[in-house]
Amino acid sequence: MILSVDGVHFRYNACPVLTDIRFELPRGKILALLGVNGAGKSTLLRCLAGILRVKQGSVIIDGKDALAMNGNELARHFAYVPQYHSDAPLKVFDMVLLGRKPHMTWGPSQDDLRRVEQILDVMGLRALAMRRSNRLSGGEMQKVIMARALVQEPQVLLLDEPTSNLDLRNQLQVMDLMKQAVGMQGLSAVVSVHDINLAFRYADNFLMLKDKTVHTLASKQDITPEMIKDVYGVDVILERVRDYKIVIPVEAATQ
Amino acid sequence: MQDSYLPDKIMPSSSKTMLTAADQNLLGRYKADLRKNIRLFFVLFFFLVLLVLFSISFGSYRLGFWQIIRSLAGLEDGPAKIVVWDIRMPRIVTAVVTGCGLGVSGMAIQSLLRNPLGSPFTLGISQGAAFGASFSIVVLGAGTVVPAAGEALSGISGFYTTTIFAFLGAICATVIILMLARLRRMTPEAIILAGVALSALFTSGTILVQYFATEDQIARAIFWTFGDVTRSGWTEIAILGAVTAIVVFYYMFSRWNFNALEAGEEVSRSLGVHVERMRLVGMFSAALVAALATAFNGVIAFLGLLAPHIGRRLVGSDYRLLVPFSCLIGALLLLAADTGGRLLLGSGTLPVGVLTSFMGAPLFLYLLIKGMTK
Repeated sequence: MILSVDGVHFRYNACPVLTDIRFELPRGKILALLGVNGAGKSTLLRCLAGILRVKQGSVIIDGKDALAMNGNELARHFAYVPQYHSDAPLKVFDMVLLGRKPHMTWGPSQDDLRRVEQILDVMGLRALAMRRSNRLSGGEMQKVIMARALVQEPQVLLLDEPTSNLDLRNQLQVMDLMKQAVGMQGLSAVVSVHDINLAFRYADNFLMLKDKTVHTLASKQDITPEMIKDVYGVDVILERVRDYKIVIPVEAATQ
Repeated sequence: MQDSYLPDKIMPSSSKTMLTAADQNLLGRYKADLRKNIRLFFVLFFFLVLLVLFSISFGSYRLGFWQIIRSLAGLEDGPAKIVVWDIRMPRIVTAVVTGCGLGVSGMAIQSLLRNPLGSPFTLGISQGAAFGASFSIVVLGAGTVVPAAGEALSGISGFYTTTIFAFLGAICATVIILMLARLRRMTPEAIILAGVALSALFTSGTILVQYFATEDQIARAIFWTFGDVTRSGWTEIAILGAVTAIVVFYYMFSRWNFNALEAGEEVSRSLGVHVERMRLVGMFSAALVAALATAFNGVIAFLGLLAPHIGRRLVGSDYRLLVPFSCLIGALLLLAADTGGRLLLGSGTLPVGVLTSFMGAPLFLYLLIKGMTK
């Protein structure tokens, strides 16, 4: 297991947002984080990324206690891709170079620069490298942010709705990138998604959150329409079309 | 992690642009770009040196070029040495150091509050200092001598009382802003608005204090608020210079944290930046520099706003470059404004704060019209 989360609780002030979260993620697997709006998906990702401080429970990454790590150490294990991007006027190259910050002492080494160049190549962003990142389109920006996360060389990628503002082609490209990076770099990923079909297409395992806690943790073969109905409150049909498992919503269940 | 961990392409290139020859050597281009900006820095630095020399040469006592150089090198005796070292250099070095300090302090405030309108002046720090100064002059009766234009003031009784109270006023404004920002988790817009409210409060406090003052005290209090670089002696210059140097070094040390903050608060946190600590230390050091600069020289408006924005226009938001550029541009602007003021009035002197306001206010409006883009 690359990541084991056990008994994690989190509250904003007095209001509990996550209670008793426990799951494990095998190395090289993609975990889809599902649940309705406000179920705590983003909060869970932020807790793992160290943006929010977890005070109760344990997070073990690669055999080490993540909650005891300092910021840079944590950043060498988890790379976080947020849902909203700032319109930073940094150059794309500098933006991606930020991913090397947790590895730097005083400044970037020649090696850091080379890795940035390499990742820009791999993601087809070379031509954009000297542009200011606030002049990019949504799809390009998402890829730049992904490049930043990958060059960070984490063990686990944490992606918060990476496809929510993208067109169909960019959605597939971004998710393909994630899947291939996971395969090549031997990473693992936790991805929150709204689109269950994307989850079926790209994830290995599903973690469904409901009522601030884990409702279902299962591999995607074991997901049933009943589970989806229970979590989303929607009657669905689960079909197989060619090689793809797809979810067709029928109607919002009246509960 | 192995070095070559990905094959040449896992993705078809999505960009429509064709790769040009220049794109092929990306690292070379990136470094050339960096070098170009470093060259620009030295060009501007050369301009600053020229401006310093011009400023030394300008005045009622005529000095030749070699006389200036010899005086600076300590080879000249007599009136030339006195004119250079005791009259003109303190003023020039004050302008350079104060410009540096206000420029970099505005840069830090803008970055840390993630607001392009942040500066010591827009947050009420300068107005706090003015209130402190007026309070000390009117209520405590500090400063028995009306400062004459161009006269070096250090040592005159009351000057230090006024300075200390100006400093306390500035720090007071800073603490209120920091507490609001921290305790109430205010948005950057709200913090700027709070700064406006605080400015108004301190300004009315100043007016209230002045209402009960004698004419002589009012004259002194108002004279104090005119930002002017003629008041500092070498002691004040040394204090402000040392503090500014430490703060600039700290910002330079944190330049990657500043860069990360540009990518958003959450991202920088996920990259290992202690955002709260950085904000607290960074804001406090910015305010400290601004408070000292204002306490020694009076209110020099808009310089902290203007310098970093010009810097951003020149080199973008990369703080490796922006920290030194904000310093340099601040120094250039303030010295240019002061020298310009001397040129305008011939032998007399126009307080430099008036000129910086004339430069800064239009820029402020320009930024508002531009939609406050950084």
